[in-house]
Amino acid sequence: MKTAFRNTIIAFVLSGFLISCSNDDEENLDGTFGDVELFFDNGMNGDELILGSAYSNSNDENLTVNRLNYIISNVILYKEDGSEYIYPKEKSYFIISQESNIHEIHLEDIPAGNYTKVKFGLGVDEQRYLQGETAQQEFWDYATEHNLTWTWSTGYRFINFEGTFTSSNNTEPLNYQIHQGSNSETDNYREITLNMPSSARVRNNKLPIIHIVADANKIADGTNKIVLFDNLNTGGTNASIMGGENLIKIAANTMQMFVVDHVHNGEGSHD
Amino acid sequence: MNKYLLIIALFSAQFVFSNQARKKTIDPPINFWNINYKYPFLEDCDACGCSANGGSMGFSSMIAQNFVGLRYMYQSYKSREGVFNNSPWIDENFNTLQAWGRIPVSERIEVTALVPYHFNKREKTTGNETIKGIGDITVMGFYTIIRPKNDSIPLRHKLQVGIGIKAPTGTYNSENNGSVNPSFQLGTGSWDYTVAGEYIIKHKNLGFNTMVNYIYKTKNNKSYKFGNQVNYGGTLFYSLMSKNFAVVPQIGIAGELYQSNEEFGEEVPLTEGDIFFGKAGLELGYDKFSIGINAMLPISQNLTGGRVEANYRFGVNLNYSL
Repeated sequence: MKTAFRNTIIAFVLSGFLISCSNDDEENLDGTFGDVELFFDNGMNGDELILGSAYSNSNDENLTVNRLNYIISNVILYKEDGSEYIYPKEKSYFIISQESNIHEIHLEDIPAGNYTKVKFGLGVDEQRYLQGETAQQEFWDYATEHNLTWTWSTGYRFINFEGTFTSSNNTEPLNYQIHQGSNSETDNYREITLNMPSSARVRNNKLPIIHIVADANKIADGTNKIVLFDNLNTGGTNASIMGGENLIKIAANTMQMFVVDHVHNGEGSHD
Repeated sequence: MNKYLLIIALFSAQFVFSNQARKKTIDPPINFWNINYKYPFLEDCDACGCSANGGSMGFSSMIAQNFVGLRYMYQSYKSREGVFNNSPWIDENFNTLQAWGRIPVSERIEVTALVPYHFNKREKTTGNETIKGIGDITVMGFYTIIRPKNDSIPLRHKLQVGIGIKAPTGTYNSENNGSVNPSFQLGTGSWDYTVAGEYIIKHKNLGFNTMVNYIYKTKNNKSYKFGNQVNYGGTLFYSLMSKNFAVVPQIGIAGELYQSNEEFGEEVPLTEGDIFFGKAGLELGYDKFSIGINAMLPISQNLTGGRVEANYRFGVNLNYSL
């Protein structure tokens, strides 16, 4: 009886070793495609962005954010071997909108493989803009719906970041509007490359999710500091940042605005 | 902090009481090891098979050398639902009902088996999620290197080493593995292996148990590998016995260290961690039956980058000696 029991235990242990050491199958990915999702989670300096909530920044100003919309474009994915996949340009313009609850960019038909870097543009590149209104009517209308356009001649707003602010100089909240874009003087379209902490495994019938945190606080409070109070109009009622030197500063700040928090390769929905 | 003090005070009081009552007790029974400070380390992965499991839950001391029993464990965690500093905390409760037994196969060799059943719940902002079912079954064999030679001498000690295996009988569901707690599972889905060591020293009725074990985890069929784990613990206990009764208050510390989890051979960020507990418990034995209660409170912790926090653990058991 005792011997039988002991043998059973030994068999159990050995079978475990056998089973656990036998599944490292090489997969052949040639000619297969999958989808990938970029998920943009908007925050303010580490906190979740909730429209209507107030956030203090390092400029001693307190921002209540009422709108954060922006354009993401020209997505490129890089494999671990350095090779790149450029998402077809005509399909590569997207909008992220906090108020409309649009956080996801769904990319289709990506060659299967392990991707470790992602690059995207913030805004619309000049090349695309110069293709003219009819070439991009559909996206222009979509952007207009989300308050991401001026007139055609002045172009797209790359970022629309609006709300109210208070500071030691103004205890009563005043409105602010930061509208980032290019103009006749400067091209403020920027491309941002992000490393991923682990690879996004694109496979047929899988949906890896690249979870990106966008820190909207960086727009005015990044490497360059933009004090809203200093940008008030002559009447002192409103801070409107839509041109000039500030847009170049904002463009530099947004280079540090995004980070990949994690990549979700499991099946099923995203938490 | 107050709750820790309360629990420690509570059990210290019993400790003192036991000392006072000592004179009334009859001499310890023949087998010192009757009060058995064993297997606090058998919790390997039975709570959830994961990085925030009940690895060092020191629910130990059996009042019999060989037994079959039932044990219930409750673990309370909270985890961040989201990636931000102000993302909401959600409650996670891991309940485990476990059948266990310990059987000698020779003078120096013993075998232990653990069969857990889990019912786990988390209260997400979008609604409650529950998973329930059988967990991972563990079988371990122990070899006694040093045995107490003589029951009559006051200072005795015992050293055991063991190896074990955990079978993936609990379901691993990769859908549960979101950005929140990767350990919200019934099992690891993997065959895992354990080496363990335990040393007990006892002087008269006062004893001290130390244990350490290492769990080597393998990749499951979803190419997810939970991080290898070290559990350790130390328990001071006092055994107070009469012919039919035994009362054993105990107090101690326990800790767990986790390496990073891996998915498809790559480290999963923020999955390494550590936790250190204070614990206290009490065992009561009568005839062939014994019951025990045990509680653990974290003193320090750093689990999954601070996105998961253990609140407390609690256990009760009922054993029947063979």
